[in-house]
Amino acid sequence: MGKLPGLLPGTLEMLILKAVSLGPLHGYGALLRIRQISNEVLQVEQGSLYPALYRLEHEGYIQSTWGTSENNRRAKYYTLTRAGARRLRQDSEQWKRVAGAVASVMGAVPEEG
Amino acid sequence: MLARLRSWVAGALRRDRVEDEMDAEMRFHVAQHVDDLVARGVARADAERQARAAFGRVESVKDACRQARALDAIDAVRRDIRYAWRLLRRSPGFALTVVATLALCIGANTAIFSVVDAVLFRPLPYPQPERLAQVLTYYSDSRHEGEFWGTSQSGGAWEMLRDGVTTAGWAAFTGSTRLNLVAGRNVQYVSQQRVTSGYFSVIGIPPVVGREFTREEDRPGAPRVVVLSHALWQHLFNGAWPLTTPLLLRGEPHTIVGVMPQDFIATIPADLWTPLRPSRTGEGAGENYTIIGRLKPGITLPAATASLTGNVRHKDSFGTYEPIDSLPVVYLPASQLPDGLAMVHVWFSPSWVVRTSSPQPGLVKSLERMIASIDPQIPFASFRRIDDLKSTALAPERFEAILLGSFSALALLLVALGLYGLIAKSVAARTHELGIRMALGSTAIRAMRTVALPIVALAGLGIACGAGMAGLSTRLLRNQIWGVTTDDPLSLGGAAVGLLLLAVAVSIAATWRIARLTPADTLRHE
Repeated sequence: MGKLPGLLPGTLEMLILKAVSLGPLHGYGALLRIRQISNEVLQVEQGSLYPALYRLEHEGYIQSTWGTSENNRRAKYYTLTRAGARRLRQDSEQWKRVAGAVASVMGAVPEEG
Repeated sequence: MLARLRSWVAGALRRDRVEDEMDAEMRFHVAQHVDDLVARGVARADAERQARAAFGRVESVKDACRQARALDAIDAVRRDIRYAWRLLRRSPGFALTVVATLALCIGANTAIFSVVDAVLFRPLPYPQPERLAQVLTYYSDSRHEGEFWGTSQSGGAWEMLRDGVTTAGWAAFTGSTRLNLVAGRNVQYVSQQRVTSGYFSVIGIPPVVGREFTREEDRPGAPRVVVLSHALWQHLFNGAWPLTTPLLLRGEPHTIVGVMPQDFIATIPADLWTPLRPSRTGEGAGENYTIIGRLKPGITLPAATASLTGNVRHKDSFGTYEPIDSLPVVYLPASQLPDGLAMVHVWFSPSWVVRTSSPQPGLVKSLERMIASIDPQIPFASFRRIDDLKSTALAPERFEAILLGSFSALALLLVALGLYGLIAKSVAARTHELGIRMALGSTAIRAMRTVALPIVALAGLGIACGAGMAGLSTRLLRNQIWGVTTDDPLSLGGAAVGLLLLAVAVSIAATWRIARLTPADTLRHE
């Protein structure tokens, strides 16, 4: 898997929160889900995934429990906390605003003059 | 914020488990990736190599995770504490010195403070303590110059005050004695204080149940009665009231007429009170009573004093002292003084009190003129503002407070110097080691922490011991000095925090030169 192409800071956290908000995930699952729903465009670097997960858990946005994976391995599953849901809402609103602004900048055409 | 704190505490307490879980989680990740690759037809050996490469260096990922969970700071502190512990085990004498110094400092200082607080600063725990006064007797002695005063009063003096002086409510009492008490099957060795009727109402705290002694019970030969302390009442009778069984004191039955409130503190610690029964003759004619009075409403202390003087005709049992009848206070208009009294007047050097709104410089001159116009024979000595007088009157108390304060400050300074010396010596002895640490990339802060942490940890231990000692010594003093309390968390906590801050400050000062260490210094040290 390759690098996540130049994203704004904090975007990785937002993507993780979004992925986890769709259902409990282990780290590897989060990676797959982000890749799958972005149609293979967004490839999270594996080395930066876990520090981000640990930071989010440390700050109380996600919590973890140990469970069993689909092929019977012990795996650590992450779920969204209430604070995490709040943060995801804020982040995605912010993201929509920024993305919209960027899109309108990029869509601008030269003025008829 | 709360989540972070919880995460920290969990991380610090179960550090090993965090580490194990991190390891398991990453192993799972790689294994899962391998499975996926194998399912897509990659050979297992190739799949394992690819998965590991994709994950990157496990150790650096783990480090980043530790940092993300803020475990690195906890690890550093744990390392330092382990190091400090090893260091102290190597030099127990050093450790003992620091702990003992601080323990003594805080223990002694807190004990002294609680005494000073009780004796000098805190008012008596009775309502309107400023209305309470003690009766003193002034004597002159034909063989010695001057006057003497005493606190001991006789049964005769008591009768005279009780029956003849109405400016105050009076009470007399003795010190405490120990005696045997029998209540049913309970036998107890308790302390007894003898007090007159009116004692509890004079100090202003009535019994919580029952009543205090009547005047009839306070005469020789009256029926025997007793008032109990709350603690003794609870202990003997479990709070039952009224009580019909008499109490045996020194083998004689006494009727229990009252119980004092729980937080009541008598003039000296006592478990029970019996009537004093002072009188002019017979058993009650003691010489060793203390008499106090509560001023009646509207009576000032000078007026009450004036009502006493000249009343007491006192024949001392030793017969060697001649009593002064009185120290009279007489107010006469100065202008009406007969000429013959002028010398007396000068002799007693009267003071004049002047209230003025005019500025001071011209005042002294006009005062002199005024006094001269009344009596030219009066020499004018000096002029003092009332503020100066007040400051003179308070001088002893201020002196004591300053003295005690300076001794405490001195003790603190000695502790600070001692700690500084210890740390500085430790820094000097370890210049070589510290230089190497710095050369190997340790930061100055970290090196300073390495040296100072053992000392600060010791200081904490010393302060804890000191707090324990303070509690013990105050409890000890409490039996000697009335009103000393052991439960003053504010002063004890303040002292502890203050000393800990002092220890930290001293550590920083003493380790400051580590920050300026260069590898060259270390080499020179070789």
